[in-house]
Amino acid sequence: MNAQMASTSSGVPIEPVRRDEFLSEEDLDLANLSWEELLLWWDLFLHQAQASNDLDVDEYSHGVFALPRSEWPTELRDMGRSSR
Amino acid sequence: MSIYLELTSRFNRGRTRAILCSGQAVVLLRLAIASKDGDWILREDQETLEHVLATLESYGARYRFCAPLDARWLRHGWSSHFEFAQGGLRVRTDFFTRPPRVSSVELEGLWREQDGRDPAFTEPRVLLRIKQTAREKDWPIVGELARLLRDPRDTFLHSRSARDLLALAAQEPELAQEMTRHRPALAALPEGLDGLRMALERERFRAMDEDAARLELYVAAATRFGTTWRELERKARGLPLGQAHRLILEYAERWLPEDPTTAPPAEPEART
Repeated sequence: MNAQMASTSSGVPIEPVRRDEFLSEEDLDLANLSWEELLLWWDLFLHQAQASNDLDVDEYSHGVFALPRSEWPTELRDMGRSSR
Repeated sequence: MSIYLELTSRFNRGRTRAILCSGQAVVLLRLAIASKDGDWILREDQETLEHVLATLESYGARYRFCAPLDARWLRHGWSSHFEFAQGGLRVRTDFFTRPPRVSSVELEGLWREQDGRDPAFTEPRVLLRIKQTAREKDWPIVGELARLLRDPRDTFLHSRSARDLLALAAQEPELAQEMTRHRPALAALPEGLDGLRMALERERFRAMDEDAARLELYVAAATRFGTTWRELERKARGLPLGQAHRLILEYAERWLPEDPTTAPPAEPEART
């Protein structure tokens, strides 16, 4: 688990705070990986994440269409869909 | 090397045109590896947009349904989206020039700070603004980004942790009071842990609702353009990206309002 040390405006250190564990304990300690290790894990993640491509084929991760299509107005849900 | 670092490097060949953002920037900040798509903030100038399009064309990218990569739309907050395959990966690349909830002053500061950096990527204060989306899954990241901030004023403004805020307020009571003027949820500090947690959750849900309303505006404004998309895709199929881009521009000029808050253009004509 990583600790973050903040300081007050007068420079007095604040007690280290524990990070929320939104990742599981088995997850990587990214802060302590070497640059090369980070690149390897990053690439491995990207390859493993391809397994969900069929599930998000018509979804957007970013930008102005990032609402799930199920939340788009009914008459618009099919616009621009993949033509698979 | 990650494809997203490779692309950032190619976009920025010769000068800084693109700042890697969102999930891939979160990797570079060493918080989490959790996103398979890439997005960038671009400079809003013609040379940048042409360079990025040419780079994407060299990877065989195609447009997804979106606004064209053109400053007329981007300056009103639209985003442009592309996809290509490389080395077994489906690579999605998303672009905008006006990130949501980021002021022009903050954006100028980001460009100044990242100019010449390799890789150029968003710093926590701007990134947490961008991640304040309608999606639940972005908010733990917002909380962790806030913990990277070093100025206690920024912590008061952005922390998602009631415990962190109460600890900081105990050490900085005057600053806590001052910052309440800038973040109304902090008025719940005297109510203790439960009261502050509730105030932070109300604040979060309000931000999520605002983001959803913003996105609904764009989706609705794209309706008429959307009805032409299948035809457009058919015509663009197999074309190099630059040619497809010119075709998409023709359609967008007719059917996609540059400013989503303005009245949409007329209905598309019946097509044969």
